[in-house]
Amino acid sequence: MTPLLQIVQVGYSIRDKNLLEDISTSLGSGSMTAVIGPNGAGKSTLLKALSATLHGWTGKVFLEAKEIRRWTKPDLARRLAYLPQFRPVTVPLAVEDLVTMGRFPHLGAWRPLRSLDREAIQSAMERMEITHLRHRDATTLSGGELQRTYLARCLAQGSSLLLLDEPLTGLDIGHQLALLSILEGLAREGKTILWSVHDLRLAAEHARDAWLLDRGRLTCQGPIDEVLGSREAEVAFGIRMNRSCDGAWRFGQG
Amino acid sequence: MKRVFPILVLALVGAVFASLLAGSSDLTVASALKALVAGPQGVLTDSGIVWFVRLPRTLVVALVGAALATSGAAFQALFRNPMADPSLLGIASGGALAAVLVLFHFPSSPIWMLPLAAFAGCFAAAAILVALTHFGGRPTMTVTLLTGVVLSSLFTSGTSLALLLSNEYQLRQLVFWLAGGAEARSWTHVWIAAPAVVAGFVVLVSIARWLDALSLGEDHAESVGVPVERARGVVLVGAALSVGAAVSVCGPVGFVGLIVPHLMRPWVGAASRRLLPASALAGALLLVSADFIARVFLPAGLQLGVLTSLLGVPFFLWLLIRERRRML
Repeated sequence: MTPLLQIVQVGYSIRDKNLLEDISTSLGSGSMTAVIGPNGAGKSTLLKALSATLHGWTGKVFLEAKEIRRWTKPDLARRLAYLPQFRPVTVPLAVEDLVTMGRFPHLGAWRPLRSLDREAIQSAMERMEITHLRHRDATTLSGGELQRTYLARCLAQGSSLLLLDEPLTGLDIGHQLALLSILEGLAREGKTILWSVHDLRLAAEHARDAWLLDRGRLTCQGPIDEVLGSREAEVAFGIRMNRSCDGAWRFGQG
Repeated sequence: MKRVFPILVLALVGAVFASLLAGSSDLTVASALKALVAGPQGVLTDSGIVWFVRLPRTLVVALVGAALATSGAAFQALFRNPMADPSLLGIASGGALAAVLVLFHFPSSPIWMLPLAAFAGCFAAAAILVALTHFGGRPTMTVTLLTGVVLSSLFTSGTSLALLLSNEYQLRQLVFWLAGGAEARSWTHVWIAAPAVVAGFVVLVSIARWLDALSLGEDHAESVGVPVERARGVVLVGAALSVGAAVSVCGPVGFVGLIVPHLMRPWVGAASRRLLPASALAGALLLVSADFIARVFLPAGLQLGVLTSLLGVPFFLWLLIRERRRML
């Protein structure tokens, strides 16, 4: 089976500083992969490059065997939904307006909403449990509600690939777990999910596969337990990682 | 909520009609109505006053208000900044400079020359802005904003220079024009402004979805398939059309573009497909009312631009304080 996303020698640098360096790998359909790494390792930058929202990166990324910068923006957005790092909303758009944006790649600038679009919006809001907030001004939402609204926008896009930059930010532990189970459900339905995450314990418990980034390089990838148990992970984070006999990970200062 | 548009339309029609009554010769409601119905007849009759003096003036003011408010709403979405205003990016001051240069060098040019120059100036300013910000790579929002601010002060200095170099007669003319006003505006001005105002409005409303997406940030917009750079260009063109039309017939009238969208958002929300038309109506209403008030209650010669600034500055400061409190 050809992978959904094929990444070939992706690099990005600003003024001689390499933020991404020679990253080559692939992402299979229906996988759910966590991107982990210390602060500044390039997690966000990688997701921006893969979603073609970064400019000036080198290398190639193929989505469905076509280079992502050769797709038109709407065509790409129908196949790939990218959630940028969390940021508050400054304009008082209604929650439903925000979720509706997920249908823009299907509608262009003018075409009115069809019933198909309304269904996609409705089911995305139901899935993220924000239907009761649909008329609320997005600037008055809590961080968690807003993050779920953004995610509903991504779901409404109906794309098979989701690139989520720190989707758990702003959520309390209950909503984090709820979101993870939604993402796992989406992966079971065949969506491919690449998500970056800070919290190694959550990653250890919920990610199946992981990519480890260290100073812009992809130094280790594979099943999460193998990645966390690797020498590269200890080097990247500068800590000791041990797995106790009950399977839980313990993290100690190096 | 659904009644917002009918209310605004009714209020606007009312304000336009009231504005027909006010002036140096008083008309009663009945005589104004009769004059309106009678159509344009002799210059010194009631219908002459209504059709050749007051109606064109009122329409010019309404068009200017609509244009400034619409472009203000579009800019605030594009820059994700509630303080954004058509005058911010130097587009209005570019138009003002061009008009001043024409007044300065060709003081006896025909009546339509000045508006056309102002219009060309606005377009040139927008073009310079786009060219400069695209020089050496893809512009970020901050680069566009800062370049606009710098251009704006450059154009303003140019205007000041022209003022310093002009003789007494020119100076009076220039200062009068720069204060922004609607004295003695004729149908010529209406025909100059109307097509551009309508075109600018259509351009901006047609990309209402793009504006909404851009108001979340470029990365969000791009991830829902908006061609961000093209969208920014389209907004600049639409705004240059609107602002160009406004500056060309009324001089630089400030703060309408800043205030009106703010007043409308609590009413119709921030979605551009509703905010832009509501702002256009409310902008027209606000400026026609301001012009009416100035003519009836305030000393003669208080220019429209001066009045909007007098009202707009306190509003702007209030907004600034409120926004800061919200950000803390």
